[in-house]
Amino acid sequence: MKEYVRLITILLIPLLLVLAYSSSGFRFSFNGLSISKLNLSCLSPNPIETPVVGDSLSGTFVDTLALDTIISNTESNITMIDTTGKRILFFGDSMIEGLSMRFADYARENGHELYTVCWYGSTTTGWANNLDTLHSFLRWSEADYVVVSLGGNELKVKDLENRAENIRIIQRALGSRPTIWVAPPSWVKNPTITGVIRGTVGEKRYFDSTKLTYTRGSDKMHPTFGSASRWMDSIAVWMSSPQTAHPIKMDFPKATQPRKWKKKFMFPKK
Amino acid sequence: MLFNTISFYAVFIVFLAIYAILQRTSRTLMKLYVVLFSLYFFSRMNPEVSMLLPLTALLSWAMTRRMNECKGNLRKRWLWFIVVVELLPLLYFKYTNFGIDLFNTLLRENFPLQDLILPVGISFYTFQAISHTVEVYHRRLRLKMDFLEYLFYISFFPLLLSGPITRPATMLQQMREDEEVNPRLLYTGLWLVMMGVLKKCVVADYLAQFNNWAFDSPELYGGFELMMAVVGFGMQIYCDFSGYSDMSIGIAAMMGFRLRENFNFPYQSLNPTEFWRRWHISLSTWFRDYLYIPLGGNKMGQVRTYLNNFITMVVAGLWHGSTLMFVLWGAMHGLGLVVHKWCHRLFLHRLPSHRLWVKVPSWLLCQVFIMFTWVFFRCADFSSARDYLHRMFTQFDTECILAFIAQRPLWIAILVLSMLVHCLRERWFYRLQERFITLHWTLKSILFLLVLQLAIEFSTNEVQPFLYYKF
Repeated sequence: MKEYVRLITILLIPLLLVLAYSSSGFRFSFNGLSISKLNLSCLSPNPIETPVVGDSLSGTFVDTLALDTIISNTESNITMIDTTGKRILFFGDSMIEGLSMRFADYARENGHELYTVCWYGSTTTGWANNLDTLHSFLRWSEADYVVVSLGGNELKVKDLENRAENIRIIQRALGSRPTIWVAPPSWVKNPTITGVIRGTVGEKRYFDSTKLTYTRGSDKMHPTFGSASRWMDSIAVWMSSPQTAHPIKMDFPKATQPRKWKKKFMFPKK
Repeated sequence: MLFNTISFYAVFIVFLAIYAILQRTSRTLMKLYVVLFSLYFFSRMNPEVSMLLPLTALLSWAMTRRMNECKGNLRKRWLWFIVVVELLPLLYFKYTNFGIDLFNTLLRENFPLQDLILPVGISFYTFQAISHTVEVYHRRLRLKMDFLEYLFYISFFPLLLSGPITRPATMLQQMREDEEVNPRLLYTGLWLVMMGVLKKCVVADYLAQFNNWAFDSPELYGGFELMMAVVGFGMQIYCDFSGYSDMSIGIAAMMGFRLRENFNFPYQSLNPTEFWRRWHISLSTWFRDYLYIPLGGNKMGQVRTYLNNFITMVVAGLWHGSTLMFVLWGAMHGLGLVVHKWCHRLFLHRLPSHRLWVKVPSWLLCQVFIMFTWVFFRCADFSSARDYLHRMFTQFDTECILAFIAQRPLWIAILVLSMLVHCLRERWFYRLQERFITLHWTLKSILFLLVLQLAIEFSTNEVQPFLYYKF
C-alpha cells in the first residue's frame, strides 16, 4: 500500500504542476525560449471537435485547437443565420479585385458594410510578416467579420509547414472575429496550398473553390469578371449555409448598381 | 480517452488509488471494479456498440463451458462453431465493406458500401476470445475461469484497444495471486509508460508530420525526400505501436500484472524471420500457435512449410486492414520469409553468421526489404505505391541531401536519435531501466514531469490516434 501511495504521488505531482502552470496567466521563458502550456480544452467533457483531414494515416493537417480556443465558443455553437448587418473586411491577393464587385452587391442587399484590401501578388507569408499592416486595416474597417482570399500566388509551394504557420499567425491576429478563407481557383493540378488552408482553419471556415470551373481571363492568372461574379455567388450561398462556422445573411442581390464600398490597394514592393 | 491524453492520466490516477485499496481488501471486488472500469472505457471508445463486448463475452464463455463438457467429434464441432461465432462480429464490422468492394471490382457490380463503424479493439479481444476457446479445447487451461474472470480477461482496459494479445493462462494466474504487488513491478510500469509517451508523443507524432505530407503528395517531393519519408515512416510506425504497447504493459504492471514485451528492437533483425520474432511478438506468436501450427507448421515437408508461412502472413496482412494493400503487404512478407528459409536451407546456414561481413549485408538487405514493404502498408492503393516508388527512384538528386538537412534539422535529429537508441544493446537498455527503478521517488517524479513537458512541447495541437488503433 505504501508503494502505491508513493507511485500515485509520483504521478500526481507532475500532473498537478502541468495543470497549474497551464491554467496560470504566467509563462515561463528563458533566453527567448518559453515552456509550452497544455491545451486545457482537451480536459473538458465535450472538447471542441476539430475536423481532421483524412484518417489517422493520411491526416496531414488538422484544425488546430489553438485556433479554436481563440475563436469564441459562441461561434462554434452557432447554427442559425446571423441576420445582423456586418462590417466585413475582405482582404488578400489580386483575386479580391474580381470578387469584390459582386461581393459589394451582396453587402448592399443584406445591410453589410464592405471594406476590401487588395494586395497584389501577396501571399500568406507577406501578410504574416506584416501584421502591423493587417492590424491597421482591422482598425480602419472596425470589422466584425473577415473574409480572406489568399493562396493564388502559392499554389505549388513546398514549404507547407511554414505556410500553415503563416495562416495560424494571420488567424491569431484576426482574434475572435468570425473568419472564412476562400481558396484560390485550382489552375494547377493538385494545388498544395488549398490542403494547408483547409487543414489549418478547418472545414467550416474554408470555402473550397477548387471544385468550381472558371473562365480564365486573358492574363491566365485570374477568372474573368463574369466568372468571378459566379464564383462569388457560390461563396455567398455557402456563407449563409450551416456549413460555415458563422453563417450570415447573404441573400441574392436584386440589383447590381450602384456599387459602392471602401477599398484599398497595395502593390508589391519594387 | 486514449492513453496518450492527459485526461486519461487524470482518470487513471483516481482509478489506481481505489484499485490499490480494493486489491488489498478483496480480489473479487477488485476484479469487479476493473471489469466495470474496462466496460466504461470500452463504451467511451465505442458508444454506439457499447453492449457488443459484454454480450460477445457472455456468449463465448457460455458456449466454451458447454464445449468443455463434450468429448470427441462433438467437442471438435463445438470448437469450430464457437470460433466462427467469435469471429462473426469481427468479420461483419471489419470485412463487410471489403467483401462488397471486392465483389463489385471482380464482377463489375455496384452494390453500395455499408455505413459501418469498426468497434475499437475488436480485432484484439476477438483474438483473446479465440485463444481462450482453443486453450480450453486442448485442455491446456488448467484453471477454469468464472464469468467475472473471463470478462476481466477479455475487457482488461490496458490491453483492450491494441493489445498486446495475451493468453488466458497468463492473466488468470495473476488475477488469482493473492500477494502484495512487487514495488519493482510498479516502477517498471512507470518506466515503460514514460518510454511509451516519449516514443508515441515525441518521436512518432513529430515524424508523422513530414511523412504524411510526403506520402499524401509525393509529386511535390524529390527522390531523396521520399526515401527519407519511407525511413521516417518505418520509425514512426515502430515508435507509435511499440510506444502504445509500452504504455499498455506499463499500466498493467502498475496494476500488478506482468506481461510479455511486444517488441524487441525489431530493426536490429538480420532477416525477415528474425524480424517477425521481434515485431508485434504477441500477434506473431498468436498466428504461429493458432494458424501456422494447425495448418501443419513445418511438419509436413518443405513445400508445405513454405506454403503455411505464406498463408499465415497473408492472413496476418488481412488482419491489419481490410484492403488489398494489406493483403499485398502480408504476401510480400510471406514471400520474404519463404525466400529467406529457402536460401537458409541452400547456403545461408554455411555462412558464419557472427562475422561482421555477413551481418552488415544481411542487416542492410533485411532493412531495405522491410522499408520497401512499408510503402505498400502506408499507401492507399497500388497505383499510389507504384508512383511513389517510381518517383523515389527516378527523381533522386544528391543535391537535395544538404538542402533537406538544412530545412528539417529537428526532424532528422529525432530520426537519427531514435535510430541510435534503437541500436542500443538490450542489456544497456535494461541497465537504464534498473537505474530508474532504484532512483529516489522525487527524482522519478521529476523525470516523469520532464517527459510530460516534452510531450506537450512536441504535441501537434491534436491528439494523434495510434496507427494500430484501427486494426
